[in-house]
Amino acid sequence: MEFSPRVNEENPDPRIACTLLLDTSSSMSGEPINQLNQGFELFCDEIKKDELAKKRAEIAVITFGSTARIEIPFTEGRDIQPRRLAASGTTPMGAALNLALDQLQQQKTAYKQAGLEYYRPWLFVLTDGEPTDRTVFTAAAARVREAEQARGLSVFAVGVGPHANLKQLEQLSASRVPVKLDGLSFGEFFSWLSASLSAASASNAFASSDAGVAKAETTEQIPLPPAGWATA
Amino acid sequence: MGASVTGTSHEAAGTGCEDASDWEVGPEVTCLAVADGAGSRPLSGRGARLAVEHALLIARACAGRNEPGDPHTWLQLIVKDVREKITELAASEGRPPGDFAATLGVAILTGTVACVGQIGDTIAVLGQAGQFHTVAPPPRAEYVNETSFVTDDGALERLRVTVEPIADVDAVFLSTDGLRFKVLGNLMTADPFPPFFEDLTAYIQSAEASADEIRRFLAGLDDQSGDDKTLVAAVRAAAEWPADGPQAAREGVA
Repeated sequence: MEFSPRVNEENPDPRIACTLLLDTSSSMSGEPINQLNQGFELFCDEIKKDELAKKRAEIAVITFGSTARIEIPFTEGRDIQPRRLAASGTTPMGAALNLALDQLQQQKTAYKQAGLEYYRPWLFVLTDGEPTDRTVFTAAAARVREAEQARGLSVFAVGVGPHANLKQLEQLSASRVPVKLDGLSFGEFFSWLSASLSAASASNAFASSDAGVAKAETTEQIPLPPAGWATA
Repeated sequence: MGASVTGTSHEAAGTGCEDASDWEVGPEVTCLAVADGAGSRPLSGRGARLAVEHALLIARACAGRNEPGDPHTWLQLIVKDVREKITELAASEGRPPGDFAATLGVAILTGTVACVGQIGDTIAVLGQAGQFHTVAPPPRAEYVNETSFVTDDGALERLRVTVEPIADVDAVFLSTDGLRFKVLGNLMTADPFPPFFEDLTAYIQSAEASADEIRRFLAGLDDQSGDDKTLVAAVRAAAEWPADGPQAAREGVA
């Protein structure tokens, strides 16, 4: 007699929350925003091809162009859909960072309530300029560094084009220096991001608390693929 | 009745099955044991098998005595003995006992009590249809990456013992952490996912139930952890329930 009991079918996988903070200020108009949109579309396809990453990676997109706004709230990789972003206005990066940190905190609380384990969340900041909300940015950057210090977050800052202020981006992390995107190679960047989320999803560096995650990471480093999109 | 199968990630890594399980049904005492060898330790699969083998041996010896005494002491004896055996084996091979690290779950069912002892992130579910409950889940942190092992220095202090009257227990299930996503309803509270245990109980009570079929189910289950999967169960045979209910059944485990 065949034995096929009912089992719990909910997605119990540990989650890796990945927030993309994207500069959509007016200077991104034209080719940059086009390349960004195409790159993100590619990412939405690629992430669905990885059996683990599509269930484990949860992606949120926050833009900053005139205002900081949540374009895509945290969404599982298998459900994420591309969205055409338009460029306009100033660069309120500080407000966007605050929004991202608040969202992330909520997400962690939701994981804990659902009994889900999680990896250390990733925060990507992509900008072609510098923050126009300087005071807000300085305080928000300190918040980001604090979260990083408490091992609650990994921060990746990426400068796009010749006018990206890498000095400002340096304030976001005490452990990882900002890198420059090679030209407008958003496609390469997003391919790399998808591959990196796959690599992370295949690791066991997850736990049910920030301290647990930090500990898990000591026994298992996540090997990220080389960043072919970066330039020195 | 039960089985252990190698998880997908262990197959990929070529480590083989580090889970072990066995059971023994006697006229007076029924014993079940599961163990999960620590993934990071080289000989933990052997540690797990040794632990299960000796746990059953000591369980039967203790509980089968004329004056069996306190179930808590049985389980302590089991842990002490398993530790000694692993230490001996380790010494004979010039290895530290920690190389054989494994979690351990043991259940002993007599005519009067159902008792369960656990070290590490094993899963033990007891009860009757409609009232299955997880007993002594590990401290929350133990479900991931960090757990206690029978070879740890403080293992005896970390032994979690549960004793319930046998009249309240129609079924006992032991498992290792590999099945936690599928058979638990909530990872935070470690509460069971009741439909699974109801279906499993009904299956084992059926005349055609076989361990091979449970093994086939485990092998085919995408548990989303890639870990080894183990399930051992003892269910009171339906036919042995007297007319006035399971309370009066004696030695009614199959």
